[in-house]
Amino acid sequence: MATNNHVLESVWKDAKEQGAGSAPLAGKELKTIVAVRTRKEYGTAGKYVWAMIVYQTILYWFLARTAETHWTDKQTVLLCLAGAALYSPLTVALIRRVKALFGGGRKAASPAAPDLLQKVEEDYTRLAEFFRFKKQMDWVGVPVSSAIIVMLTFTWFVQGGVEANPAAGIVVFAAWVGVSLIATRAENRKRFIAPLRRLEELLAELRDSGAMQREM
Amino acid sequence: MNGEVETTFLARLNENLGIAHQVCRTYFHRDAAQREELFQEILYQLWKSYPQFKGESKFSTWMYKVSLNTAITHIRRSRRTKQGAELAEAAETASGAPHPSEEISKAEKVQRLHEAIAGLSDVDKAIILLHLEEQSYEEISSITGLSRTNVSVRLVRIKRALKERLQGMA
Repeated sequence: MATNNHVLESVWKDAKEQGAGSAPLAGKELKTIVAVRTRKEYGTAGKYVWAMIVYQTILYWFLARTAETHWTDKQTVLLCLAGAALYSPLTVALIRRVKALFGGGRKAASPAAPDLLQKVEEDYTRLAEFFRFKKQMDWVGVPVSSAIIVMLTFTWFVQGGVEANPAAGIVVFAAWVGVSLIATRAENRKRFIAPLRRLEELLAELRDSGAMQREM
Repeated sequence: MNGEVETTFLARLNENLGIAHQVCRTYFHRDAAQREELFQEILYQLWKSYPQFKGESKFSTWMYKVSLNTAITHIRRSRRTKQGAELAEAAETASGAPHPSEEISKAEKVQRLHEAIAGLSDVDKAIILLHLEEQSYEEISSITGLSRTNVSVRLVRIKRALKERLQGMA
């Protein structure tokens, strides 16, 4: 196959001819596609939001219920209040970040369609910022929630609580933190590290002008 | 989007529908399911972004930007499934019935060109697609965000790479 530029373009024209003839899009067809895509988009964002809401609701419900049922036990009530106080800033911050990731990010983008480089940069910055925040939140949130869960579980179900069983408390706490960290790491790798690496590769390719000039 | 805007959008979209098809073919020429998935995603993104299109650029330039941005994002999300699907599709193509002899050379040339383009990086695919679609260096530069010099340097490299790939297939 001859490979000069003209032939390349002529083959491209043939390719276009082969692919031509697609029917114009009807308004009804477009509406159906848009409706399906909108549902899909909200579904994806909704998964995160619902998981977050469910987890936070369970945690706060657990703390409130424990405080209510052990109202006379000062230590339990204080522990519940401390847990809620420690966790609430994380909840507020998480809600803000999730809103920025799924809603605000679009508003922040330039009004016209961004070029390819700008789009990849925006995607990378948004994802990297959220991941940075999530890592910070994991470092605080995982030990705090694990400690609260272990202490309250021991207070409820183990005679003498954590004070009477410190070794068991530490082991359960360590196991809980370990399991949480393994799950978090796997989630981070799938949802953040791999996509960020891919975006980094794209950015490197888009910013590769200096290297190319030398090559030429 | 109100009725009048939607009617205008649909008319302009249909005039330039080939752009979306070409982008889909360039990135998923073997995988029909992914191609259809990307096509629908592009239409959705175009519909969503159209109210922000103020006509500062040509409609086709705007459409290329949205289509290519969507394609790059779509590939990132579906990379793992795409590889499996493309392998399956490649096997299917290899075992398919031959075309009538006259059609073979034309169809084969097109197939080879798509194969050669498939071997390029995602950014290079965008550049060569825009070039073959007769977009000027300025337009390619505005769509990709690369400088004009960078576009011309890259095009030389891409054409050289395509030439080598096509010669390797011959």
